[in-house]
Parts: sequence; structure tokens; C-alpha cells
Amino acid sequence: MKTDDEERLRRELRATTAVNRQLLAQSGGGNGNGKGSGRASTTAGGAGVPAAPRIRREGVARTWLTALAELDVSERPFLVRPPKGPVTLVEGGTARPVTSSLLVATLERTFGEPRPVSDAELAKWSDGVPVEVLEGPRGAPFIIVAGTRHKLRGLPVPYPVSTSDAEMFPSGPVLNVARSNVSRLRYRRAMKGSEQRRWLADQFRAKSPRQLLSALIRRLGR
Amino acid sequence: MVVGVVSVVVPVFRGVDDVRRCVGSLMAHAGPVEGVGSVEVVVVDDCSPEPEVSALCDEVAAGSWPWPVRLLRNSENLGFVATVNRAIDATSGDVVILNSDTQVTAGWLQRMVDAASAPGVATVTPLTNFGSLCTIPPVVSDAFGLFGDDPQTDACAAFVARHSLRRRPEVISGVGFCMYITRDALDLVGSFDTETFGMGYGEEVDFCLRATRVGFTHVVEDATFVYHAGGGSFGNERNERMKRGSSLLHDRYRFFRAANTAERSADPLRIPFKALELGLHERDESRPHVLHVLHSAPDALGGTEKHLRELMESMADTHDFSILCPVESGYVLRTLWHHPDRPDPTEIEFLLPGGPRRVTKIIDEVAASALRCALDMFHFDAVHLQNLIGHSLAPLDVLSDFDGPVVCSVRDLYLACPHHWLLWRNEQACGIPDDLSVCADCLPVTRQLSIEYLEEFRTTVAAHLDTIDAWVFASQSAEDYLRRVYDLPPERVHHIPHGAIINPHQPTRTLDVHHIYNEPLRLAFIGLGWTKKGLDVANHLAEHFAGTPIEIHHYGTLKQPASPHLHTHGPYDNTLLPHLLHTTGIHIALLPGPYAETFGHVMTEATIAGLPTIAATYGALGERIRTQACGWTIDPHDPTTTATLIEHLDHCREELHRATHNATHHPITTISHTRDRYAALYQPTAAPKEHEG
Repeated sequence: MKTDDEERLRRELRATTAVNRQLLAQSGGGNGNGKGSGRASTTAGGAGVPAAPRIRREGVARTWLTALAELDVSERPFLVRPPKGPVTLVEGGTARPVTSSLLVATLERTFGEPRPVSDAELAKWSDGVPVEVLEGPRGAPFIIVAGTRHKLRGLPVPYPVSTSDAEMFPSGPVLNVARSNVSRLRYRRAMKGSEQRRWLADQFRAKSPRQLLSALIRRLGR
Repeated sequence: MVVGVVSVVVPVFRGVDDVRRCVGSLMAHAGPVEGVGSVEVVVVDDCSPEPEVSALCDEVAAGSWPWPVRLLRNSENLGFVATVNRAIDATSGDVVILNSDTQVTAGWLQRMVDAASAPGVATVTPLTNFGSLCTIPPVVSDAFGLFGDDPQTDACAAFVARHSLRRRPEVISGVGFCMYITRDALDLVGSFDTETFGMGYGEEVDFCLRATRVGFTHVVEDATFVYHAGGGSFGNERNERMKRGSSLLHDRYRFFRAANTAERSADPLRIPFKALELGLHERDESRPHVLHVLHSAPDALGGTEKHLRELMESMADTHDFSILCPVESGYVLRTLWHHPDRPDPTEIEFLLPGGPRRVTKIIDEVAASALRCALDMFHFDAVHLQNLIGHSLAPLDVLSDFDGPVVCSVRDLYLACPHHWLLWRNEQACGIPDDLSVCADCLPVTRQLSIEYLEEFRTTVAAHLDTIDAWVFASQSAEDYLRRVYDLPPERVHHIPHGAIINPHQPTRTLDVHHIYNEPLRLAFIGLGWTKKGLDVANHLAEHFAGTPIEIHHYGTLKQPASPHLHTHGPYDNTLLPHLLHTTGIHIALLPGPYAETFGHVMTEATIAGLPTIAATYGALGERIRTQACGWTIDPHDPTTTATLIEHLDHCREELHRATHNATHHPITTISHTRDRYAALYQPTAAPKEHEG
């Protein structure tokens, strides 16, 4: 026989989890359909509840995600370098262009250096979703590779502003963040060395000179 | 703690009918209140311009009531705030300020007193249909016709009392339509500020904020409902007075607007109100309730999801269902209940604990807690494991002490191997080898799992075989596969072929002899276009027969590149598939996937279209082809022989005629044919299970 308290706790659990579902739907998440879970007055952006800011380019990313979810990720992806165009990640029979050289350098560490391929060879794979940085309502930006979400560390996170606000300032020359990074040659040389040199390369890429010095002292101390 | 006297103060100005109903409700629900010395009603006639109101006040004061009534009469109209203050000054204990257009309900004062007896409480406000933050959700008001001609006030109050979470949430301010004020607060803070808020609106907020400054709190008695007609106090001046009151509050308490906005956003009553909304959708407890554990959202397009939807639909007249499935943010429990009083099924979703992650553990704690949570939330008569992918093996562990029957449909062979396609290195059917060194070459590549993982996985399943009361297989081959790994108790094994998930009575299901003998041979590769389903074979055949009268077509989404000689038709709707195949003039369904199907809904749909099938010799498709004599079996890894078979059929249309005849005449099982068998499995087990520990 259920006690009153037990029954009340059950009701509370139901109400709390239903509200959770409603809140998730309002934040644009979840892949249930949200049926029957919301008060009419508290749907996303409806009366009484401030609408959450829309994620930039959300619509574009959603189509990518749908395509990525259907990819066969059983085989390990690899990078290729076609004669023209960006380095490409081959995954699930599709060719995914990686336009950011920062991302290329990052992906090389996991999937190896890009293998040169001819246009004919590239044409064997169907056009895939580009490897782009995605960002959810919470947490770090990420990329999706091999059916997995990989958080990105070390990437400056943009703060969204409206177009009109941005256009208060005239457009200046492009600053290439990727070029500001360590040169590919220096990185490759460092990577050819021992584990110690690899570690040094990591430190060199990730830290300021002062931080690098501190890290070295700490490592030598160990 | 015992309160001496509680005075219910009813300021009266206009609206004789409202006043009559208000006093009537007070006296109807008057009675002893525990913890209170006595209760009195103080009616204050604020020099009403309506003679009938004054007459009613006299009548009430002269009457004999369970609670004594005291009448105060202002010689001139003082306004609401000053009138209330006069009554407060004329009383000595706690007071309840009750608008004259309200109606109280059973047990209201007892619960208000109980709430007020908590330490430090200044005010208590009940729920209502018209009262700022304390307003119940519109669906509840509508359900009880609270804004109609005949509001079901008492029924609504009983409903609120029954479904309340009894949280008594704390709020910034009480609401003036019915506000219990403790004498402690009045003694420390004083009464309402007549000078500033004498015109009404804002005085109760001002009082509450002053009380908060000295440490008092304000709570909502969320099990009590008091009806409030609302808006009549000041007629058309209401909006102006509200604006003025708001402005005065803002001048005096600069933080108030922000705090009020934050409170509205956080909504301390959100969960209590959700409980009330859910109370409107209570399940008919006399109907059996079955929980399905599924690997994906029930709306997904897979065969399992479609079959489950049809099964639930076919049993909707007798059973209620809920579905637990993983989503990107945890687990969702979705109900599908039917109620004789409600025309539409109740579909509510609940988000259970979890988070964005991939389930890799053999027994995943989060998945286990989600299932436990679901079992805590509702009573289930049976649990049906449809697919455990995304749940890990945790359900087997959690359900080991479940009292009702646990049914497990073996829809794929996940329980035999986490790489449930049973394709060695995604290349060829493995058939669940005894030699685990074969698996050691496969699992790390296909699932990034070690052989030790597989061994522990199987040991865990084997240890929980007793959890399952009924193993349901749609084919003998599926059972044979699972038996290669586990020793299933024969008495718990049931064979229930999946019924058709589309209408089996299609006009296309006819034997067209002219078409069989005189048309170019056309084969349709149906389903998702990728290796698992046999796209490689279809591509090979398309290339092989390029330039000949034999055509290879594909229906479905392509996941991998297709041969240019493959006639691709794109995604299709199952219900229209027989018609599509008929329109294209297809002769044979080609299902050459190396994956060992456990049933094969596509083959059923092909049979409904009146087509024979070519499929792997092993697995459910081969079994069905042999049983029904409506097709030919092949080795999916030998496309050359398959091409020879097709050439042979092209030349020997008699054979095609025979198989097509069998396909068109084979009886199709519908899901409604199987419902009674499932209903029997959902019946309570004869003997209660013995629980470990």
C-alpha cells in the first residue's frame, strides 16, 4: 500500500522531470517531441519566459548534425591533401573539408599527417559535412569527428553580437589567427623528436614564454 | 503553537452577489480549526453605496453562524486599505484579509493556520484562479470551468488538495485577495500604509517587503484553493491603480522590479503547478501499464520503432504504455495512455537524469538510475525490453527485483555481441564464432572494445538470464544465434513473428502473368544504402548487368556511393512501398545484406507487394524464404553466383512465376494477430520472483 508521502514524492518526481523536459525543449535541446509537456504560456519565447538567444548559424549546423549522425563511423577517419582546396578528412565514405588550418594541425595529432591524393581519388568519396567548430548552449566549443563530440581547448570563444552592433565599426584587414601559430615546419621538426621534444612542442604551442619557463622548471623538479 | 483568535476580515463595498457567495462559502466551510482558540468573521461595510449590500451585512451580522460574525460600519467611505487597517486595529490575533469576491473551500483555514504556524512566517496566500503568482495554470482553471457561469470551485479545491506537492514555496510577497497575516508580523511591522497606498494595489506588497526586512517570510499554501472572481474591486480604475501602485513600489524599493522579474522567471510554483497539470492526465489505474525500454525516440524510422508503435496502437483499447529511451540529454520517459473520458491519448514526456555522453560501460550507472527513476514514478505491470542499446546492460540488473513480468524481444543480437551487426570487421557475417580470437580481431576495430570487454559483457548477461521471464524471437534463426552464447530456459522462449507494419491488403498483391513473362527483369534493392544492407552487392550487380535488360533499382536513402548503373529512387514511405514497386514494374526484392536479420520488415513489405525475395541464406530472411518458398537464398559474399542466379531467373520465368505465386498467396500476419500473445506475456507471473538478498 502506498503511503501519502510516497505518493506525493512520486508526484513531485513526475512534475520535476516534466519541467526538466519542458526546459530542455525551451532551450532547443533534446530529441523527443515534447508532447504534452509544456504549459501553453511557457513555450519557448512565449509569454512570461524570455526567449533564449538563438545560436548563430544554428540552422546550418543542424543539417550537418543530421548528416553526421547517419555516417558510418566504424572505420577510422584519415586526412588527405588534394592538389587544390583544403585538407580533407575522409570519414564514412565522405570527404569532409577542413578549412581551418588550426583544426588541421589539431586533427593531425590524432589522425596522422594528410596523405596527398589526386582529384580522381578524391572524387571516390562523396561530399561530406565540413569539419567546423560547433557550440551548444553550454560548454566548450567542439567538433564532431568519428561520431564523437571532441571539445576544443585553447580556442578563443566568440561572444555573439548583433549585425547592427558589429556594423558600428568599419571593416579592417583580416587577422589570420592560424598564421600567428607556430609554423608547420617548426612543429613538424619538434614532432620528429623524442617524447621529451614532443612534450616541449606541446608546451611551446600552448603556453606563453613565462608559462613555458614555469612548466619546464616544474618538470625538471619532478 | 496555539493561536488565540483568528479574524477573517471581509471588507465590503459593492457587489451584493459576490458578498453573498463569499459569506456563504465562509459559513459552509466554518468549523473547528486545530491550533486556534476561536475564529471570528469581521465584515466591514465601507459605506457601501448599494443599499442591498448594507442590508446583506446587517442580515449576516444578525444571523447565527458556526463562526461569530462582527459587523463594522464606516461612516464614510475610507477605501480598501484604510478599511482593512480599521479591522486589523479592531482585532487582537492573526487576521485573514479576504476579498468579498472570493469563495473559500473545504479545510482552507486549517491549512492556512498550519502554514502560518511555521517559525518566521508573516503571510500565507492560497492558490487561486486569479491572483498574480498564485494563479493556477489555465488548463486547470478551464478543466473546472472557473471562468464560466458555473465554476466548479469545490471540485477544483479537492483536486488541488489531492495533487498538491505541499511544498509551501516561499515568495517575495503574498497576494491580497486572501492573505493570512500573523499578529507577530503586524506587531513588528504595523499595518498597511494607508498614506501611500490608500487607493489600493501595492499595499500588501509594501507590507510584505517591510516584513521581509525584519526577517519574516511569505509562503504560498499550495494545497489550498480559494476562488477569486477578480477585477471587480475597482472596476475600470483597476489598471490605473495597478500602474500607480507599481510605481510607488518601485520608488520605495528599487530592487523590487528586478526581484519580481527574477521570481517570475524562476517561478517557485513551476513544479507545484506542473504537478497540477499532470493531475489532469491521471492514468486509469485499472488498465495494465507496460514500460517499453527502447534504444531511440519512438518516432524514429527504424523497424523496431515502427513495429512498437503499431503494437501499442493495436493494444490501445486494453493497455497503457510508457517508453523509456535515451536522448542526447539523458533519458526520456514518454507516456501513451488512453482514458475512456479523454478522446486523445495522453502523451507526456519526462526528462530523467543523464547527460550528453556515450554509454560504454557494461552496466551504466546513469542508465540504471534513469530506469529506477521511471519505476519510481509510475506503477508498471510489466517491462518489455525492446532494445538495450543506449541503456547498457543496466536494465537487466535493475529489473532483477522487479515484481512483474520482464519480456525481452531479441530484435538484434546486441546481447550476444556489442557489435550486434555480427559482421566480422564489418566485412562478413561472423555467425558468433566459438573462437574468441576471431572476435579479438574484430571488436577493437569495429567498436573500439577489447575481447575482455566482450567476455565480461557475456558473463553479465549470463548472470542475469533469470531476470527475463519471456524471451521473444521473431524467427528461429534469431533464437539459434542467441543460443550459441547463452543457455536460455526453453520454457521462457516464445516465437512471435512480427506482424506487418503496413496494411497487408494491397491492390498490388496480384499475380500478373504478362508482367512476369514479358517485361525486362527488374530487381529492387530496398533499404538504407550501405554495406550492412548489401549496397556493395547491389552495386556489383548493377555494374554486371549494365547494358542488359536486367535492371537493379534502389529504394531508400544512400549512405554510401552508389554505382551509376543502379537506378536510385531515394527515400520512400513504407505504406507506399508496394505501390512504388508495382509502378516501377519490379519482379524481385533484392536484400543481399551480409547482416543476419532477426526478422526483416522489408521482406514482409515485399511479400505484401507480391514479390519474391533474394536474400542471405542465413538469418531470418533465409529462414523465411525457405519456409514460405517465395524466393531464393544467396551467399552475400559471392556476388558472382548471385548474378548467375539472376541470369537464370531471367531465362527461366517459370521459376519466377512459381515464387511470385507463392509470395502473392502467402498469408500475412498483422500486428493485431500478435497482440493477444503479447498481452498474455504482460500478465502477472504466477509466482512472485525470489529476490536475491
